[in-house]
Amino acid sequence: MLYIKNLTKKFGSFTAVNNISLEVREGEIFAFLGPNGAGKTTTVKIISGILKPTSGEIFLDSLDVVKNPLESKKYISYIPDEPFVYPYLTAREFLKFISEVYQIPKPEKDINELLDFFSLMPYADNILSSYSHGMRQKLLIASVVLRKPKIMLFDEPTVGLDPLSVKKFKELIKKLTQNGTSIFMCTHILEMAEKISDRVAVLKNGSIAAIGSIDDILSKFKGKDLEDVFLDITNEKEVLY
Amino acid sequence: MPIILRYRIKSFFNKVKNFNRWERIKNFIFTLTGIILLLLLYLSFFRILKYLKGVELIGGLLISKLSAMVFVISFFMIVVSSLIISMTTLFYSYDLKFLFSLPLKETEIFSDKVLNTVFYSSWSLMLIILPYVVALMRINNYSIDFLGIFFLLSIPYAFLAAIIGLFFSLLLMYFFPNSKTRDFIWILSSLSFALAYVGLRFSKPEKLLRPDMMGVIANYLTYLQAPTAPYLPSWWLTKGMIAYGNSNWHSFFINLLLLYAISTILYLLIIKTSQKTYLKAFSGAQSGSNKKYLYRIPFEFKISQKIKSLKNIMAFMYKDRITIKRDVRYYSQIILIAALSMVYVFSIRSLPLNDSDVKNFVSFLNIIVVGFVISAVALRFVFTSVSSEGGAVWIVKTIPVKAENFLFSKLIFYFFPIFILTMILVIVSNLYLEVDTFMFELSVFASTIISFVLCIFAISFGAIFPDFNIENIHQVESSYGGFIYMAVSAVYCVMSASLFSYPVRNYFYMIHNTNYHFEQRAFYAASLLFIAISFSFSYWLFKRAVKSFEKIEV
Repeated sequence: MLYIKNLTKKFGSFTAVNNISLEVREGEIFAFLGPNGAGKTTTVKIISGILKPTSGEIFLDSLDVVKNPLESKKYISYIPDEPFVYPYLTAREFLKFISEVYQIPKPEKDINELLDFFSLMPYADNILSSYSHGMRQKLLIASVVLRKPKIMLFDEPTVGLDPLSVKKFKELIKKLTQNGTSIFMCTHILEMAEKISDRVAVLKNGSIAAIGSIDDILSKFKGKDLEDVFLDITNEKEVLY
Repeated sequence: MPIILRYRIKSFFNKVKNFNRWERIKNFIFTLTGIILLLLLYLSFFRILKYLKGVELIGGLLISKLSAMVFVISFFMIVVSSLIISMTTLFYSYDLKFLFSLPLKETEIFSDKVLNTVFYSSWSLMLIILPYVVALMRINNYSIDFLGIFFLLSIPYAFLAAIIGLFFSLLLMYFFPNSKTRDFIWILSSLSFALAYVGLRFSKPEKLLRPDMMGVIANYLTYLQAPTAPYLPSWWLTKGMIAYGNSNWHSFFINLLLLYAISTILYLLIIKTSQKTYLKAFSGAQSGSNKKYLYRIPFEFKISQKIKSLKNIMAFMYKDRITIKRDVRYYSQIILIAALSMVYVFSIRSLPLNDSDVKNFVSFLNIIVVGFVISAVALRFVFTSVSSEGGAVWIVKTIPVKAENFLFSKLIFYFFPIFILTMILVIVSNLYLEVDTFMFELSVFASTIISFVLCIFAISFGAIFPDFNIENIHQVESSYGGFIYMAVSAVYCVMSASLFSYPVRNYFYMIHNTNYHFEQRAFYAASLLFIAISFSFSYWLFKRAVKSFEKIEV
């Protein structure tokens, strides 16, 4: 599905992403872990087309994402950690706007279902400037589900969501992966990564420090839970003491 | 020094210190262009003042009167500017929520925002006045300390003007926390200001500057000697400067004292008021509108259902239309532009012109002036349209829409209102001037192309120099991108008119000499050259903007 080969991104002399390679398989939930500033957001921004890589390749099946950004954006969707939206559109209008851009035929039924699923229906005709952070986040998740992409990129998707919405989100992405959609998710919430992801990669200083299934990684650190393993890998333990 | 201000200054110096090479070059070019423009302004002011000084007996009086008028106009401009800016700085700044979460007194936060507003609403105007003051100093042979005195007096002057705007915003937000009422009052205030402006212009103040219209020369002299708006700080500034120039120390110190005392009193008063009002007003500003907007299929989507290839363009046009329709901040500016247009047309009508040649010539020059007006309007609405995507620009960058379609949607959206405004200014002016058919058609033709090209310039420079992290959209207008856009537009407007200067001269010859034949070929050649230069440069610039927008990393 998604192949990243030797991806590097430099900002001046600073290397944010350093020669990373990984694969996200069809219908897989792939969690991208790492401390602040490890390069997680930069990586998803490159995949989504917001940033250009300094070097390296990204393929979505056989489609070169870097060389064909416009074509690949039809199949890749991205939600940033800060859910900025158009403040003067209503939720319904925003979803209609998205369906126009993605040329989704007759989206009304899906829009209503998604608004209902995310408990946004009572506010569907209110302008988005009146929405809370969590409500905007839910709307953006609804907007990516609406367009049915091959792969969804989430950057801290559950920040600002209430517990019920987090539960709904987890159920939703599980259901989406059953239909073949892949999920690439940056998160700090190790518990969520442990529970729902098929594989994880731990990023440190722009490089991949560990990659594999949770079981694979835990087996290398016998008797430790994911939190300890994460702290061991990223050498963050000293910060705690 | 207050803690917030200290860190604000620190972050400014950090920003300057961390400029990369390209930013340094850009800022250098910007500063250099700015200095050149200020020099040109100085030369123009110097010429005007020199001419006035040369007028026998009343030269000095004329200069004093002009200075008073310059300062009174600037005063009102700072008030309006502060009115618009303070809404953002006081209630919607990015850092406000953070600042309110700190153990800081409300007055500390408020006074920081007051300083911010005073600075942003006055610095550019004060910079533009500076060449006038230098010219004034040179023409009167004052020493360099005259400039120092100007700085000393202009600080409380700018402060006073800005505090009026701040007071209005603070009280408006306090008394009308309901967004609907607040919006209504905001529009009503803009309308009142616009009506006052139109009313002032319609009262023909120029009559007062012409002794022949005063009947008795003594009346004219009395007018010149009379203070201009004596209860306004602008008059205290004028009097203070004149008094310093004439070594009239008593008058100088009185006016200096007046400026500083009143500004201190007003500052203390607004701080005192803020203790009781700011937190409530801020909380009110944070509450969103609960209004429901029932969805109906917009006409843009109806068009895109018929023409599929327009889907993306129509989607963005829809988003922009809805945004402008619902953002009340645009309304006040549209009202002010309407007032400005009325005043513009009225000023053309009031020109004391009897000769048809002069009228035709004014119509020709009007092409340039309308171009300048349109550039300024496009700077506010069109140039800023790319940056106004703000934090939501990630949407544009991640959806499968070509950068050129995104920019093109903005061009189409903004061109029509700009074109209508251009036509109103040109056609109504021509009708009042009763110009010949040739000049009428020429000005309409040239202005049509100019308005389109200026829109392309505005979109393109807006995309080449965007800023998606600004708190206040007016900061984008006064950025180096806005500056370059205005400079290029000014050169383009002058160049456009100069391309037609030869055919127009031919036309005047033909009118006065029946044996002289109008050179049709020269006119067509000029038209073709005008179209070729306009569109080839616009096309190149637009392509450059597309590439630049594609490269933007957010």
